[in-house]
Amino acid sequence: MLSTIMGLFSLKVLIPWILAMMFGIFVGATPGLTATMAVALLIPITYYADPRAAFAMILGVSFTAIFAGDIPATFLRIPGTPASGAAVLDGFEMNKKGKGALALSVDLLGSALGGLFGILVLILVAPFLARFALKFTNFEYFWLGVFGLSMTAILSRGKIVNGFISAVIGIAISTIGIDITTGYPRFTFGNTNLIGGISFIPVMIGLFGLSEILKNLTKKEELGAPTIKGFGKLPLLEAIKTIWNYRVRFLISSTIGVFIGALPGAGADIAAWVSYGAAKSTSKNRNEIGTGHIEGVLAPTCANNAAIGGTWIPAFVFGIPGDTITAIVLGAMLMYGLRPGPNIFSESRNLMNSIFAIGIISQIFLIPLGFLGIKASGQLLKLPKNIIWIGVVFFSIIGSYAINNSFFDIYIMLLAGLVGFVLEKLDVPLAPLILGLILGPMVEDNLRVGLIKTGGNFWPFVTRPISLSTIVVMFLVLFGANIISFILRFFRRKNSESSKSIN
Amino acid sequence: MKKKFESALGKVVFGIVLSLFGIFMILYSRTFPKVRSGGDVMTGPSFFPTIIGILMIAFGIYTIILNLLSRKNLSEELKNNDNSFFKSREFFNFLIFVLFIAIYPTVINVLGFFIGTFLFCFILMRRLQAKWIRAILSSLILVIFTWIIFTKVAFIFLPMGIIFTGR
Repeated sequence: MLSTIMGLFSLKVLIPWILAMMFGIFVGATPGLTATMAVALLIPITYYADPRAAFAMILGVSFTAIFAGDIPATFLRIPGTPASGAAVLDGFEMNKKGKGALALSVDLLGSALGGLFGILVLILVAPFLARFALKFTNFEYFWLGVFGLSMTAILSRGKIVNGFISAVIGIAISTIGIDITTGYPRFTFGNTNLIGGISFIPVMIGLFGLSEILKNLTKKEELGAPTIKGFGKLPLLEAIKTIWNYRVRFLISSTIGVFIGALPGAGADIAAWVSYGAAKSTSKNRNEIGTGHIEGVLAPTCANNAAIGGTWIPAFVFGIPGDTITAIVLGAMLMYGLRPGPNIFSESRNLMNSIFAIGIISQIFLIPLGFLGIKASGQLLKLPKNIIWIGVVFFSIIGSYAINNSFFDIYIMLLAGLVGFVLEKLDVPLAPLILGLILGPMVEDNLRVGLIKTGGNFWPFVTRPISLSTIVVMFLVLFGANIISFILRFFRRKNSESSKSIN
Repeated sequence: MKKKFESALGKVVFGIVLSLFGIFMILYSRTFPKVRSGGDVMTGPSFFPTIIGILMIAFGIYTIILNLLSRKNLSEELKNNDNSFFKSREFFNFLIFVLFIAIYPTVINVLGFFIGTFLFCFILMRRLQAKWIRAILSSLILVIFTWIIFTKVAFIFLPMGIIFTGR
């Protein structure tokens, strides 16, 4: 094992590895460029590299890009990657309070530790977890989607009906495009741009990024003032203490991240939202989460990086991609002469050991590289608002265009920006809309396929053991805290009554 | 309290729009084909949009009723209707930004990425009171930086303009 690790520090592995991780920081922090895109761009280069260098580049770029997406999410309310959608909520609020440096320091360390957790789970329980994940059928996926959507109640900051309205709008948007089950184009009105559906990234950029700029434009502000104030040293020691104080949250969120990552088709973005929702419903700070609380930053960031380790579990064990990144890499693995499957651990033992070591060492590299990324972004954002705002609008436009090389996506981004602006004016939260957009297809497809399988009978959706367990967990997450506090109050009252009667 | 008054009318309008969208979704999805299997009608493409449409109508009606019930708020809002914001410089900036984003695709298609983007950034920066030199330099840096990232690093095609390429 030691020789395997030492082999990773040869120049032909180390140099492309670090360069790829720097590239990941850059791509992740640029709105519109995703971690998937970063991996896709690296794949052709990896063909010419040593297989260990290839995996080092791919894993390294995934971890850094997912983390770096939180940098613009915290500073500008623009998620750099889809996995950073949930990081917008408390990260940006903390930045508004002048605590952006602490938020990003916790984010960086939380990402590295979450990533480490994911890799350790991959090493220890990969075959077991993959076998369990494969037991999920349409019935269970339907409930998983509903579970995710139920987070709307938690994300709505007390405006539950408004939250559900937002989620329903998101689901409605997700129905646009070709219906996967029958191949029939829905709500496309003959427009070929709509056949593939509405791209998720332009909607997210518009909803969070552009709408924030539009909101700022309508306020009377000093336009020549620096965009962010009070961004000095990164308080890494305070961040370590904070993570230690919230170690239970870290463990819960990372576990959620790995588990959701291991489910094929559910990636880091869903993991981050579910983990955030779990924190908002079960934490003793639940009332402060959403208004700029550090626990709301830690929960999604651990989960999305832990999910990366999770996505590799079904990929290695069964050759089933957990997300788009692993889907790309599975194709490339065949080029490296690797056959994913249960035998990969014995047939390519050395390479697998190298991959595990790469996963762990990447987390160590992530800290200094992420630190530099935050510092560079912090310096850039000391520029005046009238320059940064235009830059943000411009990057929102080009970022939206870049996904499909389509001008149509720019109009989608603009429309989403206007919708976001109006919805916020009406006290309708935006986060559930994204949740609806991501989870709508998962809920619909699995509900319909499940109903087709059962001839229209809904009963199997609730009688299968995993389905039932998912419903129970959902119920506990949503109402567990209320039930426990009700029981505690009941017993306290009973105790006080009995002590009064004794007196 | 005043903030609540201000949003009551907007919420009624929002409820109406939401309900209309719901009605549209239901009616339009009725035109989708039915899926049959062995003579039984199965859940087809209209199944889910219909459910979403019903939910939209329900939420829309709820929003309308809830805000109509606070009729006092509504009538006061209509009485105290203040239009000064719509005449302000801030609102004008908002409109210009929206307009510029809407025409940007056409502009770079014709003038190309370099000139189109430079003009876009420069005019908007000047509109937001950036100094001349700063606006010119920042726009130039932004154009060159973005071009390098997107075309040289991410290999994304950016239009060079009909007037330069002829297509």
